[in-house]
Amino acid sequence: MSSESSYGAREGALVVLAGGLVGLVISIYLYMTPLTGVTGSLGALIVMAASGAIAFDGLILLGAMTPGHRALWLTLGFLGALGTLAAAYLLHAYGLMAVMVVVLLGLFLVLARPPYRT
Amino acid sequence: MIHPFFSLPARLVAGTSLVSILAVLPVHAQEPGEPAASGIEQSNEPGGEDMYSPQQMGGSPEGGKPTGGGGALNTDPKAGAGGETRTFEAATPNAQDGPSTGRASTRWDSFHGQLNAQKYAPLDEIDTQNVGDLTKVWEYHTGDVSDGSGEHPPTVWSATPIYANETLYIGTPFYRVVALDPATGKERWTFDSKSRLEALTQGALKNRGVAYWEAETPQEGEACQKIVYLGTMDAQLFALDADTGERCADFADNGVLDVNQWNTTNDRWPLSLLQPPTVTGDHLILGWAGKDWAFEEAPPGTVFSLNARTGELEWTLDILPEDVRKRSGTANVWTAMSVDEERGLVYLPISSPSPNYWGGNRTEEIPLATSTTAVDIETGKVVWSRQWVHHDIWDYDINSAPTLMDITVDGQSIPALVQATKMGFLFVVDRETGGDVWPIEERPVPAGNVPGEVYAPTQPFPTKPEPLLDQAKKPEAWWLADMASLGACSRLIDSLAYDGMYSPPTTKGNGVAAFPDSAGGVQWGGVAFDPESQTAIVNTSHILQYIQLFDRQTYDRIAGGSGNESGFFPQEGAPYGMSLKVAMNWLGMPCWKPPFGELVAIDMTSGDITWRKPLGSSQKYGFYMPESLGSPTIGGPAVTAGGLVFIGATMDAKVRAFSLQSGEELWSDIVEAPSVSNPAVYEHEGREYVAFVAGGNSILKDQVGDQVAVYALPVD
Repeated sequence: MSSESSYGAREGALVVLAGGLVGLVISIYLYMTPLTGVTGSLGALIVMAASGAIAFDGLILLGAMTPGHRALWLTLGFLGALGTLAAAYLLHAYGLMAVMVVVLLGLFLVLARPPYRT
Repeated sequence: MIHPFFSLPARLVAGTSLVSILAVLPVHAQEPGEPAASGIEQSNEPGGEDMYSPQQMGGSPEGGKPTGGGGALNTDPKAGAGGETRTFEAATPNAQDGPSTGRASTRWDSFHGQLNAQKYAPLDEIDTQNVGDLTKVWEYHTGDVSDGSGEHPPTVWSATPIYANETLYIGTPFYRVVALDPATGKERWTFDSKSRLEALTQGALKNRGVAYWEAETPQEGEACQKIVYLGTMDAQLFALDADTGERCADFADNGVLDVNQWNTTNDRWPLSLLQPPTVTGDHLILGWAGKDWAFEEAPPGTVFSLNARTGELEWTLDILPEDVRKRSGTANVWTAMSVDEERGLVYLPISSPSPNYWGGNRTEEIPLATSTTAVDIETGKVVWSRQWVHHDIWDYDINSAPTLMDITVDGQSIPALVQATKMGFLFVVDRETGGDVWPIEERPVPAGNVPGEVYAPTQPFPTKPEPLLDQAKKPEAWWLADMASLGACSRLIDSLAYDGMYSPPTTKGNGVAAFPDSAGGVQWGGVAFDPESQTAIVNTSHILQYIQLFDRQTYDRIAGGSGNESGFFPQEGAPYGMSLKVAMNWLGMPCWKPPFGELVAIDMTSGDITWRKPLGSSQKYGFYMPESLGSPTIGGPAVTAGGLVFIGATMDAKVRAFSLQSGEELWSDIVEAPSVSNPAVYEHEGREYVAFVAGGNSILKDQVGDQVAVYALPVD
């Protein structure tokens, strides 16, 4: 069971990592490309940074850690993904919203499959 | 006079955005037909009894002399009980070819498309069924753009592209003209006036485009049979051959006229030519812009008629009575005019006198100030005038060309005009006489107690259409902004004086609420009109501002900076300086309840509102607010025979198409910056195009652009 849980948690962390990277690419596109509606905007910069932070969060979650650290990074991940989801909604960045939903699923996966026995 | 916009603080929606991440925003759209009574008490008593004297009119050489040496109140029974119509000697009908009255025209060769200012294209290739397929077929960037961070002031670009001579002509805020192929956007020629790129009268480099004239029978091979005119902030008017862009040698001084030569009273700044002249027959009717709120004494308003070929001055209309000019000023015409060529009349939307928020230096009647005034094109004589604000101390400039329309009311065909206003009132009068179509009542309004000031006891209130925003009571605080500010919004609104529409500026407390003030209900985009369904379309803004006067000593002590038409302004020479602010909380969230802007359709056979919808999204830092809240709007609509309304105007830099019948949004696209002008709709080589200028206005949003975006249906 422990092995299965660890496997699921790693998958979840990979989803978070990948989602963060895809979100980063989308955010850069939104920021750099003319006529996206948010070109050069502070909002696009914010989701760019947030996406990068989510990718970093996924990377951290891939590694072994204490339950306390894991809870911390999971909490940060949820906050980041929910915040980015809301920001993407207000930026009319619907692709980024979809990616953040996937990131949230990844985080739930990590949450549901704890790598350590409790 | 400077543009009448409120300064939308840089944080207008930033705070809203942040808070909205945490909260689900409610919908607060104003329902159609919601009553919006105005004024503190209804009355049918007539207003002022003033009559003109010939001296007051000041027309020269012959213009402006009223009938019988004094003019008279209109006795036409159609004039309302309180309708203060000043009638003068009737103009001789001067029928000419071209767009004129309420009839549809295929032209789009002036600022509002047609001289009747209907912004109506009788084109139906693009309609409600296929508008969703509309695609951008070309775009053009002028390069004339500045955000103010470099060597130039920021640009504000509100030009309507002019389609004439099989060419699209556009003026730029760097005071250049570009002539483009209407189908491809390919440059045909450009002209650079090399004007000083300095903010001499305005806070930004501004331009509202160019004007076009052509000879009744153009002579082949002769230059300047077709002319494009460009004005500059430093009061130079250029005349260019429409085919080549070369200066017209026969026009004034080798193609350029120094209009500032006529700036002879209180010459504090140049007569800025930001609005292109109105071209009718062989006349150029020319107003100008200046600098508001800075001085008590300023150049007094004048309107010039010039010969379109030579630039020779034909007549001058002085707006202010002679004895007031020196100690006051402005009451100019800084926006577009409309023309009824069949009746030989040009309709002037006239602004308020200076200083704008204190009138102790101009306590006598100034009949033409803040009015719509019909003037004989040939002579400059005033034929009739309706003053919409008596003794204006709110800067309620009449800021858009009245829209001329033939409407059927109670089975009777009426040659009407609709005058939109900053107050959110739409005044509808007979354009021949100035008499009411629906009663316009003089109602008592609140008085104030500022020493030296006088207060008009009554103001005109239209009974139909209903006001575009409810000024009858002080706006309520928006719960979200109030919550985010821990009640600061409620406290601010509670602290503002307000006794109904036309509550006067005060030195007390935090000042007086104005809903709206310079922000306007309606700005210079004016009213569009579909002559087939007799539907008027207008965009409006709902903005709560507040005004406070300070005695000179206090003002000098506390005056802080000012932004673009928000903050402290000295009214130098007057005993009072003033501040004008938008009611915001610490996050920059609007304190008042949404919507912040709407698009409204009015059945002009009944005066009833057909539909009204929040228009666009407010946006800051890229974050869009829900469209149910609407956006403040600058710019205006165009309508087509395809049953469509095209409009930009919103903060979100989108251009949209709506169903004229239902108000449903059918199409949108993103452009480089808010499109703060009217779109142009034209047909070229059998194909219908819709052109938007995306120039932005720093007052609305810190986003500027230099884009011309042109749309059409795909070619099969």
